[in-house]
Amino acid sequence: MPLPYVVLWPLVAATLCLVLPPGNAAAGLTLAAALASLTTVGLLTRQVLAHGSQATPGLWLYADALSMVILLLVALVVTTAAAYSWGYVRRDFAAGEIGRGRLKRYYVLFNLFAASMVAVPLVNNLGLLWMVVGATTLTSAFLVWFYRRPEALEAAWKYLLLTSVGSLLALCGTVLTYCAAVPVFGTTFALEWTALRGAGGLLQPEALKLGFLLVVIGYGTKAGLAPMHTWLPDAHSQAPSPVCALLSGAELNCALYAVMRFYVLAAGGLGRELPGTLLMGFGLFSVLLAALFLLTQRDLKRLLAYSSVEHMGLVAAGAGFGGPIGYYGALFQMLNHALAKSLLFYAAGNVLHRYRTTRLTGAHGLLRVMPLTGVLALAGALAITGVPPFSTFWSKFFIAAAGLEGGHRLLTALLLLCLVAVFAGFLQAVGRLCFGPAPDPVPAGEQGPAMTVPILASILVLLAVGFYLPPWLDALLRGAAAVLAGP
Amino acid sequence: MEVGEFVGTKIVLNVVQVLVVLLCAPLIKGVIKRWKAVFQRRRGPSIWQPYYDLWKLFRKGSVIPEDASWIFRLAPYVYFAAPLVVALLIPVLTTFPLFMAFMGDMLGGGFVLGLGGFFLLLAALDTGSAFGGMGANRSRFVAFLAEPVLMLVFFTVSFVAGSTIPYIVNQTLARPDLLLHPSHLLAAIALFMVILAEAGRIPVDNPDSHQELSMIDESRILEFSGRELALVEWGAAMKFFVLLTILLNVLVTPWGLSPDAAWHHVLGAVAVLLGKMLVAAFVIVLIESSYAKLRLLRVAEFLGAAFVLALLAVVSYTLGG
Amino acid sequence: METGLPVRTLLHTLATLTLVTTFALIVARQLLACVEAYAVHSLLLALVAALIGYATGITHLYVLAGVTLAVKTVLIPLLFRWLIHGSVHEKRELQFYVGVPAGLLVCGGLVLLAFYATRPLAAALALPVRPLLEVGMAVFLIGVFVTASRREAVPQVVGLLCAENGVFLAALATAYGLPLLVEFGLFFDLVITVLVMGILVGRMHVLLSTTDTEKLQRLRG
Repeated sequence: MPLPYVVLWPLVAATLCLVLPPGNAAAGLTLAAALASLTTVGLLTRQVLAHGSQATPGLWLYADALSMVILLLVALVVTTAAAYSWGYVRRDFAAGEIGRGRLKRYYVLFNLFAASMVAVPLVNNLGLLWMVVGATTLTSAFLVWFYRRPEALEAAWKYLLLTSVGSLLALCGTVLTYCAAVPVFGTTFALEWTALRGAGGLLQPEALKLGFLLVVIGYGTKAGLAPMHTWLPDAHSQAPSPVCALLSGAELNCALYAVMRFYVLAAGGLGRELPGTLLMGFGLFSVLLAALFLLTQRDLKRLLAYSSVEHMGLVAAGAGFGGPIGYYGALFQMLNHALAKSLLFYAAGNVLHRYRTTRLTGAHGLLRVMPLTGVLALAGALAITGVPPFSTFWSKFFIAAAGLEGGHRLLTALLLLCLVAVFAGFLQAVGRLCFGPAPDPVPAGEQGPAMTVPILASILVLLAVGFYLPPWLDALLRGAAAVLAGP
Repeated sequence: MEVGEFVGTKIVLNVVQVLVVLLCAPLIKGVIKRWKAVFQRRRGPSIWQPYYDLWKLFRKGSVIPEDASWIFRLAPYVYFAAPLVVALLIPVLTTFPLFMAFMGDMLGGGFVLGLGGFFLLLAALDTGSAFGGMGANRSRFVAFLAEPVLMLVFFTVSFVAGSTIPYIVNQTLARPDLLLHPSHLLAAIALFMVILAEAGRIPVDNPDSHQELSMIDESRILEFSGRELALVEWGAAMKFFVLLTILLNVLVTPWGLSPDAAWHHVLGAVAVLLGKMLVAAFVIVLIESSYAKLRLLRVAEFLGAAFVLALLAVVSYTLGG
Repeated sequence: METGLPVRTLLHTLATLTLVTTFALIVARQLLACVEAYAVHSLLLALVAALIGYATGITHLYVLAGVTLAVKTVLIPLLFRWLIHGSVHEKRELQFYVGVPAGLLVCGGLVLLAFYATRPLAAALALPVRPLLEVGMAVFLIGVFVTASRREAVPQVVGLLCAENGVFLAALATAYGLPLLVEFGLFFDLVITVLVMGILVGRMHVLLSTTDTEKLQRLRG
């Protein structure tokens, strides 16, 4: 039964990293644990596809197609981040930015963070889900405040405070959902999602409505939906690049996954219109706000952060549009965004290490300084803005199609307009980064393999999936969409 | 025929009620002073000291400022008479309404007390002294913040009881489920805070210090002496007594009052009233020994908090049911 | 559930006192006063839990009350005291974005909002102890407001903790508490959150020699 092992590998790695000397041993162990997790996830996916949803006895851990999609993308991002960290943190240590203590702390926290994130799609109990999502924030707080700068402290404080408020709102929402279930199940009831889904229309509508609203706002804060997204740009601009990749690529998706679980419950109890409209509203607002802010960004990592807000909004809008295409598109978008965003953050990390800044005024001429990274960054920018033949094009296409099919013509038009604006702004920024003369004091030459291979791997996957969607992935996404569509 | 219906008895009881207020008010003041001293590990004055002071002041001559008008001479009498009038209206000793009970309700009582304070204010301005003006200014500041709270508390209590006549409210509120309703508790706390403000206790004002600069009350009555001062001090003590009686007999503990005119019941009611007063005095002494006086501008926050509590009392009653 | 008069009135009284204590949090101008208000708040919460446990016969509520007492009334205030011990801002007055009188009015409004919002919910659920749900939601909203309106870091955290108390109260009112395992998880999460925040606040004090978050304004856009 591979279910618990997914979480176990990173936890074991975290404990071992506490005792091992920091450096290559810890980094190698982290990578090994991430790969082991990924393999376990692969095995689990095969089981789920063949035999339907899996669960441990007592229904503590539960994995259906929806869980597997999230788990897959989390495991992928964790693996690439672990590989990238090896090079990145080692260079920081070599440059004297961090000491041995912090090096050790990095790997321990990285593994704990990874463990909490892979646990999120697997827990069945809504209360434990809240706890695990809270654990993702707590483990990453010190990762965000990694460098000893006042700005980093500010970013970490804002991150912690805002997500705690969001957490609290989500807790209130969870409690209200529990209240909604009490008339059906009595008071000695364990808050299992599977049981709640079965209850469907029997849940008390008033409590469910208020509860879902609070959950969307609460978990939406952690997912980066506007207007609760204000911690995102700060946290991303200050954290080390692999951590940013984990935050954007994995943690936001975990929070949105939590919203989706509640969405299924709300749709079952209230019908699809109200929850869908709520998600659509927040999603569109996020895309709009992100597009506006993105056009004025001067810092590469903040630009990427706003792009994350935009993509999360897109996913929410897709789920809100509904219908099998909408759900499929939203989930596919989550997967693609995770890969694309992480690779862009790795490229940004390379830029930071070489140029000592991520401000676009200082960093330009990337194609001359680090040609491979430059090409990959350009490709990544094309990928993230949804240019064919990358797979992101298909996911955005599906979401837009779902919008039109649902009759939301005006909203879809607005959405597409924002996407075009983002495309223009993004490409302008990355173009400025890549083209032009290289600034003088910057030495040319690539970073080590650890810092370029993950980028290459991610972009190749995106390209490959864009051309040919493997049937197992298609089946998985269809299954997950079916979960969202409800019984 | 019910004893309560006999008009003559009612008039007598009314007079007895007023006498109780008149005679017991300085005692409470003395008790508070004595207990506060004990808390501070001093011996303190005797609890009968206020009586001695009043006796002394009545025998002294009064000095009246040259520029004062008839208002200055009239004010102490109005201030003295106001609590006595209110004492006619509230349930001090009996559960059944007495002769003058329907002459005014709680709002009327509040206005009468306000009238006394207003005359004192005019007298303070009348003297032409700077301290008088300052004191008048500050006391108005406190009073205008306290008025809305009083109104809200009375509204809440009247909502619950269905009447504004204190006797009827007292009878209605003797039920425990109404008494311990959250709105009622909030109203009682708000009223207690207002009483602290109106009577010039800590944390609003320090009743011990006699410096005109630091006080609200002392600077108001600075120019009075002799008989006028005695009347003003007695009136202040009675106002405090009357407000506490309203709090205790109408809001917090509406029991222990005499159900009929039998003299042993009435004496028992007097004893119970004094007992309740002593408990309230103890609480006040605790507060006075634990906290310091607030800055004048912070008094606005104190009374603002009382206002919000009173507002919540109304809301929780209408919405909470 | 046994809803006899003494139980019901006692619950009402405790609910009112909880609301009053939350207001004490708003008017608190000293750091320690905030922490003390939170301690009293949690004590009242533990009493409510114990009382409901007694009335309904659900024994795990006694356990819950005990853990609340141990963690929230004793442990977390101790953590706070240890954190702000020796800090120069321990005795100084707090700064607000929204002053006390305006804050009081806003909180009055929030209580009204909470009462209004929970009315259909409470009516639909047919609760024997409705004031608890209303007070719980009101405390939650006031706690979030306190977090938003304080400039110092420590009262922001205390506001969050009070809001969590409010959620706990609402859970007690409507569903007689969440399942025990979830509750333990919540406590654990709470303690860790306070620890993490405490460490960050300590670092803030060391790095910036202030815990005034107004000074954290370098990141913009």
